[in-house]
Amino acid sequence: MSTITRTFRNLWRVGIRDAAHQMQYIGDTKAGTLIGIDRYGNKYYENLQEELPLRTRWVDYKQKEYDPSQIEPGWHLWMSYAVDKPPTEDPVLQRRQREWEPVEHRPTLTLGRSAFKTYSTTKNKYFPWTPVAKSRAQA
Amino acid sequence: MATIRSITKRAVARPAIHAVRFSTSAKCAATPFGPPSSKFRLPQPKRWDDSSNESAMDRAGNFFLLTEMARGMYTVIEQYFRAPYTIFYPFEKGPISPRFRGEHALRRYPTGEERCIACKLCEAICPAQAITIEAEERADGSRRTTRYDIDMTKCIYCGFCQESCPVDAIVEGPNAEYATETREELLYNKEKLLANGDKWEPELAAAARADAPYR
Repeated sequence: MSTITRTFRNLWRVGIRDAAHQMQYIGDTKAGTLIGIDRYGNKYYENLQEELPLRTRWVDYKQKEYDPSQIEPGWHLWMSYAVDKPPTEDPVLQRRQREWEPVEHRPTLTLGRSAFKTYSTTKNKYFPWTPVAKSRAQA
Repeated sequence: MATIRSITKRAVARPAIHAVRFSTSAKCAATPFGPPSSKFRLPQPKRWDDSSNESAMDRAGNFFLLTEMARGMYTVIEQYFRAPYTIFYPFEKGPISPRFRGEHALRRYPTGEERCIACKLCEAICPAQAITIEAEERADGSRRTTRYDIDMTKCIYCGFCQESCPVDAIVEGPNAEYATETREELLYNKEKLLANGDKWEPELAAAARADAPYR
C-alpha cells in the first residue's frame, strides 16, 4: 500500500471496483489513461505526469494467472520504456506484417504438454544394422 | 659556512633519534591554522539502548511498558503508509536498452529465407561453448545449418555471437522473460530459435532502428 492520500485519491478517480482489482493484483491504486488493449485483452495504462519514474506505464493482465510473457511483442518494448510511442502508433512495431510471423501470441508455456521439448534436427550419424545373409550355395 | 657546519653537526649528532622516531619529516598539523580543536569530532549520536542518563525508574518503566515494542511497531506502520520506491514488477517494468542481450533468436530475410549461412563464427567465438552447429548443402545448393543448438543454461549472454555474425542471423533479442520450470526446456534447437525470431521480429526491428544512428 502507498500513502493514504494517494491511495484514496486514486480510488476516487478509478472507482471502487477497479481500485479493489488493483489492490488485489498490483497492490497499489493507480490512475492513468488507457493507451491500448492487445489482442489477448491485456490493458496498458500510462500516467507520465503524476507517477514516479519507471512506474509510469503499467499493464492490467487479462488472466488471473498473470505472467510477464503474456505481454505481446511490441507492447513488451513499450512497457520496458524502449520506445516512446505505443505499438498502435508505431509502424515498425506492427505485428503480422510479414507472412511468416506467427498468427497468435503464445506466452512461455512451461511444465506442461505444450512446453518446448528439444529434439534433434539432423539425421542420426549411425543406424541400427540389419544383417543381410546370403544363402549358402548348396552342393 | 656556518650553516654547512651546523648541518653536518646535526647529521652526525642525531642518527640515533631518527632510528627511534621512524619518521624524519617535521610534525605537520592537519590544517594551516594548527591542529583541530578538541570539539572538532562530533560526539557519538545517542543510541536507542544507551540508558546511562536514565534513572532506574525510567528504565523500569520502559521495560515494563514495552515502549521499545511500541516504537518498533510504529516504524512498521510508518513504512506501510510510506510511498513505495520499488517497481511492482509483473505490472510495471524496469527499462531495457535497445542493445539489451536477452533470449536468442535466428532471424529471417523479409522473403522468409533464413539468414544463417552456417559460417560457424558464433560457435567459434562462444566463450561458454553453448552453440553447436552442423551444416549441410541444401537441395538448392545453398549452405545452411541442419543443427543450430544453443544451450541457454550454458550461455553467459556476452553477445559475442551477434557481434560475430556476418549476416545478422543470430541476435539476442529484448526478451528476458522465458524462464522455465525445467532445465530441458532451455536447450533450444534451430526450430525454436527461428520461431523466436519470427515472434520477436517487430521488436528486433525496433531495436535495430534505435541503434542505427550509432552503428
